[in-house]
Amino acid sequence: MVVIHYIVSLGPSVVLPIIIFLLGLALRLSPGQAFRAGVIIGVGFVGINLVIGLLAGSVGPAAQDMVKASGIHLTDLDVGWPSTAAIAYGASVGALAIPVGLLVDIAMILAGLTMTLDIDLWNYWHIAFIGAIVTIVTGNNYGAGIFAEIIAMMVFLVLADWSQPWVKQYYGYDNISFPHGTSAPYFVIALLLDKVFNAIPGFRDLDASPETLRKRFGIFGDTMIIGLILGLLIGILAHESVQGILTLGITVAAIMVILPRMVAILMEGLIPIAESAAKFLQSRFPGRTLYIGMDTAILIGAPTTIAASVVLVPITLGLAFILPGNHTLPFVDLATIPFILALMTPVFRGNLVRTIVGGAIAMIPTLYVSTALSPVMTIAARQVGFKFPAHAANITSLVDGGDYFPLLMREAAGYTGFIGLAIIFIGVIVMAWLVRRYVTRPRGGGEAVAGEAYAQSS
Amino acid sequence: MKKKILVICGTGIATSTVVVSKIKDYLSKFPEFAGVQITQGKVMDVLRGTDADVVVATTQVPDSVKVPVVNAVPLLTGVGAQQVLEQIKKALVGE
Repeated sequence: MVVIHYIVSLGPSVVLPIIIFLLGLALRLSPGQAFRAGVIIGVGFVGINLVIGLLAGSVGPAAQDMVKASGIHLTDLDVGWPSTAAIAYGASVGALAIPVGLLVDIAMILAGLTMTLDIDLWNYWHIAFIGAIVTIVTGNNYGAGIFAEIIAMMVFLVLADWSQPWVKQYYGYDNISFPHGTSAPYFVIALLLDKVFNAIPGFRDLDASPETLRKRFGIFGDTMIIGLILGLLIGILAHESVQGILTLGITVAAIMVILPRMVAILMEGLIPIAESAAKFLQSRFPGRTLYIGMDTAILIGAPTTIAASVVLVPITLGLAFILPGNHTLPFVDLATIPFILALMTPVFRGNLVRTIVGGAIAMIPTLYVSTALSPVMTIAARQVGFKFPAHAANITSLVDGGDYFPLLMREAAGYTGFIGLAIIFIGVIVMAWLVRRYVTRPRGGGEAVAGEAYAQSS
Repeated sequence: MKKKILVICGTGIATSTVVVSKIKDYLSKFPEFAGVQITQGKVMDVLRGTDADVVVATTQVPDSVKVPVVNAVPLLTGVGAQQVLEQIKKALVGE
């Protein structure tokens, strides 16, 4: 116990490299490769910590001034998925998400409940995040945290299977599915909205061309420029001096450019681990009919998604300012909107009007949820040693921090502990069975075999 | 030969990092490609076109890209990867 306590107290920039090194060895990397992978991840973590410090130290006080000067109460800073991922993997149950996720995936396939083989290891951070917040709200109950990770993994696998027919029809990917924590929950929202849209006469026949919108709103696709504009805007609303406004503009632009680069460092360390895990998984199931689970990053180039995303940047900002009770200042994750849309677009069959309106409607709960989850995220961030001034601001993110599923898990675990989680667990199994029965029911023939999938189509 | 490869994915971070490392590994076997410059970007960066000679993308690219585009998804799933790498080589030589 003393040993464990000591190791945890070393902080994630030290603990993560150790865990990744051991995981690398377990997945048969050479000791040299595993060691390097571990150290790079530690380095990336330190880098992200630096940028969050800069963000909270510059935008945090300015957001406070904005409240005082103009009464606009947006003090929960959206630090974006790069920071959320780092917080998630840095939490005490965080790094466990990788082995837990792999085992759940294998178990679900063996049980015949899902058929997605999730080789996108990087995005296991979504289950790590849910594990981390559940651990916190249950008073550091690690068992509850790990149970939550198991449930989260199951949910993403089920959603991946469920959405696969839409992915196949719209994007043409036969044997790939997307158990991606950012995009998958919005697939369900899109299904509901599409039903509603179909019932509205007039609206249901509207569409538009992505080309013109993309050109007109193209500026909002440039995250550096968004950062600059946002920084200047906050500076003005906070009644800063001219020098202060300009400095804030450039600082915020810098954060938008630098933060993703830091995550790229973290990714570099995870690549060898992810590849050996993919081999490990694929070698378990020779000859099985499976989908390969991937990152929705490969979907977001769709013209409708891109065009809708650039339009949704100003819409999301506008909503944040006008929605009563919202305290989230959208920011880094404005660049992540394409991921929120990635699995909505195919449900709307690429219809641009529906994707924009549906995306805007989905942003409303996203903003409120991210406000609701910001206290627990701030605790999680402090626990992993991210430093920002006390009372400056809370942090949150639109991605995951604004997702209804982590909120549901937090409420269930916070109020009822294991009972709530167990009910969700049973619910997920029922859902998996329904999806298996009505969506992915083995039809024979048309489907390919994991591992051979791409040999055939390329 | 000072050719430029631009690797594009959704964020310019995740899948493109994987693809860049695979292309670097592969090209390092050919001395004639020693000077090839590989950069990473996100799909939003090429809305106004690109000055690269070849675009390697893990996602759809807008039609503002006029240079040869190679689909890199097989490099991520692992199977069919060899053909993709050969395609990139051919595109560099300009075949």
